[in-house]
Amino acid sequence: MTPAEVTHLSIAEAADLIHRKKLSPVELTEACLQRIGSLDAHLRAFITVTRQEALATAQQAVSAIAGGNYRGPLHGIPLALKDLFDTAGVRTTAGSRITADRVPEEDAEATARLKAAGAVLLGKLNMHEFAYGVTGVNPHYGATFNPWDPTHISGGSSSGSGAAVAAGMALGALGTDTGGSVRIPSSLCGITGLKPTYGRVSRRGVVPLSWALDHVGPMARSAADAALILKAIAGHDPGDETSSEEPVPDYAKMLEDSRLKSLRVGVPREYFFDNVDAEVLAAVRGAISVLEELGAQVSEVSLPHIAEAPDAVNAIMLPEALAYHHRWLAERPQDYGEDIRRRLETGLLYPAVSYVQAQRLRSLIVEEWREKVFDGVDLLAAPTTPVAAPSLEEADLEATLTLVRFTNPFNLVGVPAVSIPCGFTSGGLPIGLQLVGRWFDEGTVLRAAHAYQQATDWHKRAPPGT
Amino acid sequence: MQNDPRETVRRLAALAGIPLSEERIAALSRTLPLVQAQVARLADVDYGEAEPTGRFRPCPEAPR
Repeated sequence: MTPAEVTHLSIAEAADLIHRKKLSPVELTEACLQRIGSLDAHLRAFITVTRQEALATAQQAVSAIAGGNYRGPLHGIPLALKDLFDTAGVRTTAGSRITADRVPEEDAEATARLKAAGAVLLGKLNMHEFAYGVTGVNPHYGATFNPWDPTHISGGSSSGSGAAVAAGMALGALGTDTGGSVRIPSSLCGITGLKPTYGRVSRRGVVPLSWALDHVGPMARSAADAALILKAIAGHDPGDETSSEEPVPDYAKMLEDSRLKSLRVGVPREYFFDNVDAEVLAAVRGAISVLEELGAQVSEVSLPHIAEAPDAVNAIMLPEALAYHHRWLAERPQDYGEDIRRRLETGLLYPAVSYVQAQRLRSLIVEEWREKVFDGVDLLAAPTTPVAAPSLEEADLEATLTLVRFTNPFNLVGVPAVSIPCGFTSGGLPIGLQLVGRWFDEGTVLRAAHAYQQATDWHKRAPPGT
Repeated sequence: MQNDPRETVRRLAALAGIPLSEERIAALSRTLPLVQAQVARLADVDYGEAEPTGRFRPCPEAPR
């Protein structure tokens, strides 16, 4: 197997080979590091590469597995972290100048859980500054380029996560999603990205953007791989006030049932199919037809208060982000990139009453969707983004508002949502399908995504030159 | 205050303790109508008895 073939293995495939001692974690890690060395100057997916630490962990995995101490499917698997997950002894910049030299003393909970699962951490990934944007254009560490066409953005804010996984520099990654920051780069880079239920994965040790809306999620090349990462990081953390005590199922086992015969898929009647690019629309409609061919019962559904949801997201996110950044914005505003600084200042304009109304709207939507939406369907299907990746020249505020339109309502509602590749534009850019489930029903979301990926090959395609 | 967006922005920034140049105040005041529209839409919603929540619970599958 060539290094390129090795780095494009799925996590499940690599894990099987590692478990059977047919593939060494060191060989796999070296292959990923080699790809980072050859590709990252062109893509800017990484801020920090922890080469020595990664090779040492891979060597430890070799020894442990040889000694009969195999920890499971992430043991010896090279992954990478968005650079806002705290990593003990390794700087965590949050993509900013302000915290460029910050070296945490402790790991984030998600970091610690990946380490406990035996994962090899390759380094820290580029991102939109402080996760406050979805283009991945970072004034301090450079824009992350889209592996499918480097004249286009990768999407963000988990930009490096999207590019690194798509280009085979890592087999999977962690991102965070406050308004779409896992799903948007996953859609634009042609990979699979899951925003789990709010509270499913601990946010402790993750630099916040908006406490009420932040989610941690896996990014990988398939739903099956995302399921393996999710299993490792999900579960109650007493150190995170919002962490749920809901038990974590064996997601990989849930994928074994690929029948969609009894699955009821709702296609939103309004909002999600307005002002959508024609090629995106065709690909998403085609993907929904595939789900139907697999046995799903597809029907139209209305989503109460969907039109007000983005207003509520803004009324929560902007004041919370301003509250977190308040001191830095007052004392060293010049150290922010201009787009972030402007967005933080906009947070000044929201009155407290709107913040509370937005929180009340959140409760109202949750109850109404519980009674009027998820009583009749198991999943929702919609485009992840209305357009494919904009060009770097188009990466402005208008592009940002467009890209978050179909993702940020689900941050408010807190339901799990995955983006999976479902086609390409005539220009060769990936298109994403979004599947959304009930609270804590990541299993059904991933099962449907996996069934779709068993019937199609969009997720197996690799960017040219990688 | 209501008639001069720049004065509104200036006072809000001062209240929050964020120093802003006149140039930035002017730029931010151009965003004010967009925010005011969002605020007005949120004010129009009938919230009933809804209270803020930060916790979610599983949703049992409905009978088929």
